[in-house]
Amino acid sequence: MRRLIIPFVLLAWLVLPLVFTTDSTLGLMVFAAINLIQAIGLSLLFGFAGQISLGQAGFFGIGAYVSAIAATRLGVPPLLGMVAATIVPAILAYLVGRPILRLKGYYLAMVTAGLGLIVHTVFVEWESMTGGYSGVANIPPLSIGSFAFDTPRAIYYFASGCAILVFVLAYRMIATSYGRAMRTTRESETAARSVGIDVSRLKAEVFALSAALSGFSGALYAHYVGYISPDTFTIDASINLLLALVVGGINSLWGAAVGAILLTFLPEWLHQLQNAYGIVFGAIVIVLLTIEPGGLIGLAQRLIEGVRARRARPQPGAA
Amino acid sequence: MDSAQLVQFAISGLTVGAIYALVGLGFNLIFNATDVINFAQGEFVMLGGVLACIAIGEWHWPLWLAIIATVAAVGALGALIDFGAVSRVRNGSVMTIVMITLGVSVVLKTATLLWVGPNPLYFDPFTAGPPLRVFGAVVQLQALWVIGIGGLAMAGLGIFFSRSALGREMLACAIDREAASLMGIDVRKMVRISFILSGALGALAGVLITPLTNATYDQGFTLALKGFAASALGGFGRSSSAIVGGLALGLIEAASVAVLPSGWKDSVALIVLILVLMIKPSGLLGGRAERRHTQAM
Amino acid sequence: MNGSAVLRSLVVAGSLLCLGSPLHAQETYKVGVSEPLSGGASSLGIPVVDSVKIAADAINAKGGVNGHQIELVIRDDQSKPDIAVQNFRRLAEEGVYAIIGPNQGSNMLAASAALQQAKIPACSFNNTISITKLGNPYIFRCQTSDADNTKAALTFARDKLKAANVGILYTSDAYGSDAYAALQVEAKAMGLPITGAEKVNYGATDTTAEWTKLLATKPAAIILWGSGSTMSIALRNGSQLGNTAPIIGSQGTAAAAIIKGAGAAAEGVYMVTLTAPDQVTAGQTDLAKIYKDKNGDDYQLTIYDTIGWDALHLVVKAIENAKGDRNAMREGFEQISKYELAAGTYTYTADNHEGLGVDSVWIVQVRDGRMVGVQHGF
Repeated sequence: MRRLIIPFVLLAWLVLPLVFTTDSTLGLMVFAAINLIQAIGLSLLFGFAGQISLGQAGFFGIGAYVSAIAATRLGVPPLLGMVAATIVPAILAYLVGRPILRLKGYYLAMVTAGLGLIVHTVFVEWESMTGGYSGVANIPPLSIGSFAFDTPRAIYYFASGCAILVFVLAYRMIATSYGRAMRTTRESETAARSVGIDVSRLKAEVFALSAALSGFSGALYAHYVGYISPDTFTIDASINLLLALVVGGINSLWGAAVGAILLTFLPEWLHQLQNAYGIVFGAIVIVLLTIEPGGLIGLAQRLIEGVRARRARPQPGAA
Repeated sequence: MDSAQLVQFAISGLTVGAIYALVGLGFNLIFNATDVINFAQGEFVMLGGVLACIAIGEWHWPLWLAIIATVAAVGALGALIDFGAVSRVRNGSVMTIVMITLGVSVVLKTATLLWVGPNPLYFDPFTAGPPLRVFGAVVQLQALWVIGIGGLAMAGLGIFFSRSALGREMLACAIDREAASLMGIDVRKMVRISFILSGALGALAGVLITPLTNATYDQGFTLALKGFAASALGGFGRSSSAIVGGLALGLIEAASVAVLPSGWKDSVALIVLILVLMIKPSGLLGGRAERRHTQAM
Repeated sequence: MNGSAVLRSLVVAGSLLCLGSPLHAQETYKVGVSEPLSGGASSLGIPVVDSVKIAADAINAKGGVNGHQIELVIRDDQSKPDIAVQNFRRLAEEGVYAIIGPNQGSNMLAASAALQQAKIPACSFNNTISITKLGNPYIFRCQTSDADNTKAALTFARDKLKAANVGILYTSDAYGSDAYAALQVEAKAMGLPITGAEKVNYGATDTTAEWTKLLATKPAAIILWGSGSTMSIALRNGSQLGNTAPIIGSQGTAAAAIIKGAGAAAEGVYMVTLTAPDQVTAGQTDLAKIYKDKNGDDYQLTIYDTIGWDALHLVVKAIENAKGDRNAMREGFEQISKYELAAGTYTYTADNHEGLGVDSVWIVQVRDGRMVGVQHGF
């Protein structure tokens, strides 16, 4: 059964644009892919290595600005700009991460929230570079050679292709010894140290990885929308990403996928609610976490286990 | 820049700092008893301000009644949050509770928006009259109320935690939950009480600061961030640290306006906080005892 | 029926339910509305959408356009640029004739490319100068540009207040900083010195430090440019610090909630806006009657009551000019000339998408807590 998942996802990836033909639905799926890449980064950091971050929108923004400024001012090809947009936040996160990741829990939450706010201030204040609140306009679409990804369908295949690739790589990563070291660090840093894991280095590395993924998706966002301004990279965006991930489930990468889909589609499905949307979303968070800290995926696993337990013999292939 | 301006910057800083300190006290309280940071603390403050505005502006209640009713209502809300969600978390970690309080803050913020709308609310200062003049600089009368009542609240909490049996039991819970439970302390009850107290204290802060800051549905998180920074800067675990941290934070912000473009104001305080936490994670006043909070959870 | 069709019909059904219109979708002209109904800018978006709905009812009651009823398709952009882009795409797919909105300059800039692909006009409600300078022929401004608003403010300071110089206090958001840039250009052109300029963070809860710094430069008049709660705090703080220089506030300050919040500190403050609530112009008669019937005789029209009404009337005029041809809507808009509506007199041409000019700008003064017209047109 598990072996069938990957081909099924790939098939769905190819076929979906034939089912959902409108640009707006494809556009929504591009946003879902962008959110998924970010959510995977945060899932690795928070779910697997146990380090919270309320500043992901800052790295998302750095990636967006690096690639946008490189393309509009220096004429750097977007693909190269995206590489820079991945590396720059990673380096910054690694440098900042070494000292701040010594902090725990809510200290880390608040300090990363503070970092996000500082980065936001830089976007606003460094006007000569970022255009201040007016932002950066006319960002060219992604292109490889002479082929430009300027239709929603083309960018859909690119963005979601990247997202699936990132997902598969992350899935493999958590199965390696490095992935085990991450989980050990989450459970007990003392235990991790005692088995020879360089805990502070590992935490900084995973922080840098999550920043890289956020930066990459930020660059995708910039080239897809064509315009960026500080409004997009706020603390609210960081909180929404974190809450969506937690609702999906932090103990599994599938939780990140569910979270990214909810983050993108839920406001669309519930757009008639207008301001009441926040109440519904907040209530989902409260109720779900009270019942099951593992989120929707945790809930699903519990239900499946319950069904299995009720049956006398576990039947093969039930999951 | 003449001396009157310097004094004015200092007074501006102290006024703003007193606000942060008051918000920080509420953080300190739940933390003391439960080792949990309540991310909805800023919403408690915001709700305190909004409810007082409604009671005074629309229902024409006298000020004292509005204050008591608001403090009681938000205290009850604190109890409800603990009763309805926090106490029911199934084998959850502290982080799960933090996420739930984040969810609560989203709900409270949105509900307030739906109820009173996005426009700023306001009521007049407790005492009317022109501001005081000190060395050519201006002191808003409401700032004196904030500092005065904030100081009283701090002193009261200090006595509560050091003298009363309940206060000591709460402190014991924070230091070691399991040991406290073995000693026969009802840990659940302590958590409930701390949520009530922090709701009440947050609401009090909201009522006091609204004549200075207005009350808007979306100001909770910024207040929470600053209040947390005040607590962390001073060092969690004792009430006086929130006051010292808050005032220091306010002064740093005012000083930054004097020398930097004012857009950096919010960030400068956070940069200082991050630097302090990197160098001395237990905060300015914190000793070795408080270290456990930052280093082990 | 595939997934998108289901989704689409749900959306249509939803918006119909929302409006309570009869179900004859084929015969109507659809007009899209993408406005902030939630999030930071919703205090502006909600009254504007109300005003658009009132205009639709009024127009439909008179028989619609060319015998077709107007059907509004309203979507919330949540004050977020990415949602605005999404809304523009979706509305274009629904076959709307024009899009009314958005409110924030950043959202218009974000949705610009999607609009250009859709090839339908948008009536944008913001003052941000750059939106009509993008080279996007489908963006039409249904408001005054801050180039005109700042010009009016400075001219008023120089000519009526006889100020020899000005000091500026503005908010850090796009609204404030964009206007600050315009103020610098305009003041230089007028030869009016700027003694000092201080930026306050959007949403700031204390501005005394910034005021201290600004007042030290001894300005003869103060320009206050921004919006939201911070504006009423700024007015209070200025008066507490003993400021006696006259203040000219932006459109964002000319709101009842802000004047109420500032209390006595708002008395005598001048504001740049598009309506003088105490005076009903010829173009406002119909609209004022509707609002007064609804809210009582005391009701004074706000700028948001007028611009939504105007925008839908402009769209209707453009549909008439285009003879119902959706592909000719841009040209239909560009043929609108000297059309007097509630907020002013609109003229668009192929080169000028500004609509209103400095002749539509009002300076009002707060007296006894209410705005009173002082000067109309510059």
